[in-house]
Amino acid sequence: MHGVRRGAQASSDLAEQRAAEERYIRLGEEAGRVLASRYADDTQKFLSDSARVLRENPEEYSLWNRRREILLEALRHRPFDPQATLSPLPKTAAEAFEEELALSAQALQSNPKAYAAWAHRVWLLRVCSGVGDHSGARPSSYAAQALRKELQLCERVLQMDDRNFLVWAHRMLILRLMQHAAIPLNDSIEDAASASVASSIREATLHFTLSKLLRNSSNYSAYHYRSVLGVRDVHPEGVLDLREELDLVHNAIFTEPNDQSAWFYLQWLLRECTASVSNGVGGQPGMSSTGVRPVPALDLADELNLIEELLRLTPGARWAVHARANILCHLSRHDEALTLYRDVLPALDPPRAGMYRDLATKMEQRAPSTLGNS
Amino acid sequence: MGKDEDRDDQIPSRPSVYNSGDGEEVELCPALWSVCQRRVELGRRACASLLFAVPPLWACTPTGVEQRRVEDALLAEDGLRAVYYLQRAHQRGWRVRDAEEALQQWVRYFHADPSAERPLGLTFHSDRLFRERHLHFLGGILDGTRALPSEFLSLEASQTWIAYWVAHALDVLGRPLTAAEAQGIIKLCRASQSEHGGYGGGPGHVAHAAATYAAVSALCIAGTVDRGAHQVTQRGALTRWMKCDLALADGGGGRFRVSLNGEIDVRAVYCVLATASLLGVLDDDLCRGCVAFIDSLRSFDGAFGGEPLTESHGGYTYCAVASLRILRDAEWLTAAEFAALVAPARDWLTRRQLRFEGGFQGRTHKLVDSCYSFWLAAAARLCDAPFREPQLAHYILRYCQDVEHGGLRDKPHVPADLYHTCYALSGLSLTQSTNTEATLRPVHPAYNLTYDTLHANPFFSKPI
Repeated sequence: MHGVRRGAQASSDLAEQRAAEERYIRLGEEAGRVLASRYADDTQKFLSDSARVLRENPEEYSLWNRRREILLEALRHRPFDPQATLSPLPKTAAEAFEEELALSAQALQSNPKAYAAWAHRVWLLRVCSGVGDHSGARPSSYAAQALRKELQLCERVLQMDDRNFLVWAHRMLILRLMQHAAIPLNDSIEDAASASVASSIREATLHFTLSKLLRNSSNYSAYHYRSVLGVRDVHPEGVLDLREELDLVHNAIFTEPNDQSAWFYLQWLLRECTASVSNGVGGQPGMSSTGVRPVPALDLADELNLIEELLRLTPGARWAVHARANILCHLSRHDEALTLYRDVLPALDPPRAGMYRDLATKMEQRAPSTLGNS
Repeated sequence: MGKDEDRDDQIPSRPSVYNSGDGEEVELCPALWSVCQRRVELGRRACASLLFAVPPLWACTPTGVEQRRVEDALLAEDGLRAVYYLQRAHQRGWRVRDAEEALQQWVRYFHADPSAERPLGLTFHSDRLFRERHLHFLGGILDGTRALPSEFLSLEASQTWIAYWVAHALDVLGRPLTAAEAQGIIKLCRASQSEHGGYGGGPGHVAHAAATYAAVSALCIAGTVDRGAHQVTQRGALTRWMKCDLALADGGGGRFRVSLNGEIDVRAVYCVLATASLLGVLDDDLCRGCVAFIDSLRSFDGAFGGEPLTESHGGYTYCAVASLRILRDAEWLTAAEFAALVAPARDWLTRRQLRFEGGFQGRTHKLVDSCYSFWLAAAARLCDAPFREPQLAHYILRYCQDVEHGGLRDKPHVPADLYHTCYALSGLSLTQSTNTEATLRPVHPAYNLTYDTLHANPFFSKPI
């Protein structure tokens, strides 16, 4: 998107650099030739030529586009039937789709962030699961299998890079596709009623994000996709148990007190459970909004004790001090919070001094008037 | 003692000449050269508290590996400068131990607050913007006198963007467009305008919200030199296109596609609102529902993703916040409502400025990139979230300028390009708010156009 050759690194070895340039030019010329011939009659030739190009450079999106056009022409608006022959192509729909999935998977191995390759897969899976074809037919077992295998692919790619946000978003898309097509997550779920599929999808994400976080408590993406599930009793469809989430976060902050992910998540949990129900615009971090009614399971005094215990173990852990200030605010102990924001934190964390002083100023402006309004 | 002296006498195996980049070449004495070769390791020790503490599990994943690589590249650069200054400061022979200590002091100083004391009392050369080189990099494009190399074919659908990146970079640098350059923009936009309304990325391309925003912005800049630029856009057709093709008919408004049948995300909202505002056609139909949509994009950290349920990201957060600002200026939101909507993102925004690099990252734990100097800094400015202007300027000036060819780049070791030149300079302009010696024109954070350009736009009447 930025118009910069991806992976163009200055190599100290000039010969290596020149070879890379020449290879780049050669690939570009071949891509150009295949692109120019994409509407020729010999579709088989185009498919095999473009496969060669796309394996090396999955970002030639016009070639993916043409491949989809060829499939669309062969499908002729009929509902997807894996066994049907896709004339003029000498293969069944299942075979053709397998070929596309295999090609895009190969492309993603060397370039797991190629938007065009992921988009190609989304298209293939939408078509084979019958989303939008208005036929009302149940999706085939081929589609169900393909979608489940897609989830496994996401898992594999995330193992290589657990912050690949394309894959996280892709996984959510696949889950929604399965929900839309009423495809259960595994064979054992007989009743594919939408509601139970939906809740099993939420459960799956709960399980998936937990496994990621237990492995690495700094996985910011996992916290995000977990937060989206919502806290039970706070969010209408919430499935997160507050106590369990607090335990998860507490483990994380004691293991890695300097990693911001867990702290952002803790701040979010506290906000969710202390924000006023009537306050539609969302509370400010660190401020207790009017009409505070904490969810019963959240004991702010408990939380404070825990943070203070952490500070005894690792004094000067700046995130812990910030969290302490935050909780003191929620507990209406404004003076103590103010001291932390104005004096302690700027000294402890000079690069963020401006931010802490800012929070202090805003606190001072609001402090007296927000107390006692319920 | 014996060991140091051994090292002092060691004959270097490679040439030990240092090129300062200012055209000066200095031969390093062997002791300094041996220190210079270990500068990354020494720099790491000096800046330990500022560097990113990689969780053990990430040491071999892209997150950890790439972050370390970027830090090493910056440290290498810092170390070279430090050694150069050391050489200039003292002509006598060096003891390796002293040289190491001095180098570490210098590297620490480079990343400290402006008020920090300079090591060794040496006059510190201030970081320079190589304006002439950048003007050279940007020249000949808009008036077509320079043939662009074939790799620009990949930007064939982004020609209106190229027009904007170049025109705006020149504007920020204070270099007025020539009549030929203004004509070049006008010609390109005319050829890219759809009769159905809106602009495509180039002649023959389908009308697209982002390409339109770029075209209209480029025409604003051209309009400062050639008033005919303001007459190019078919405002009626464009408005109809946005309301019929881009706006989603269901659900109360606020959601837009980027093009007919295109994707729905917050970039579309921003491009529609900004374009409409610049052309004076922003009305209730377009504004309705935008706040609710933007609110649905909020992540647990208070910032915004591109679509509902996705992770927060700097670029999308900019689009969300700038859209809200445009809605506020159009009186669709009160100042208090605006403040309440953007306040939750402040913390996240401030923390995106990296402690060591000084520049901004686009997401938590990801890499610095000079283009975020605009997206994140402007979003921070709009939300009233503080960030450290000198450190941001240092990142851009010290590591992102291509002194040889001109232009600015994402980070060291990638080539400069027009997109990064535009946004790095825009970000640099934002760091000059309190600088009385500002050399760049100030930009409006919600539009990324200079205030002069906005004032010259006859259709733009929003408070500035």
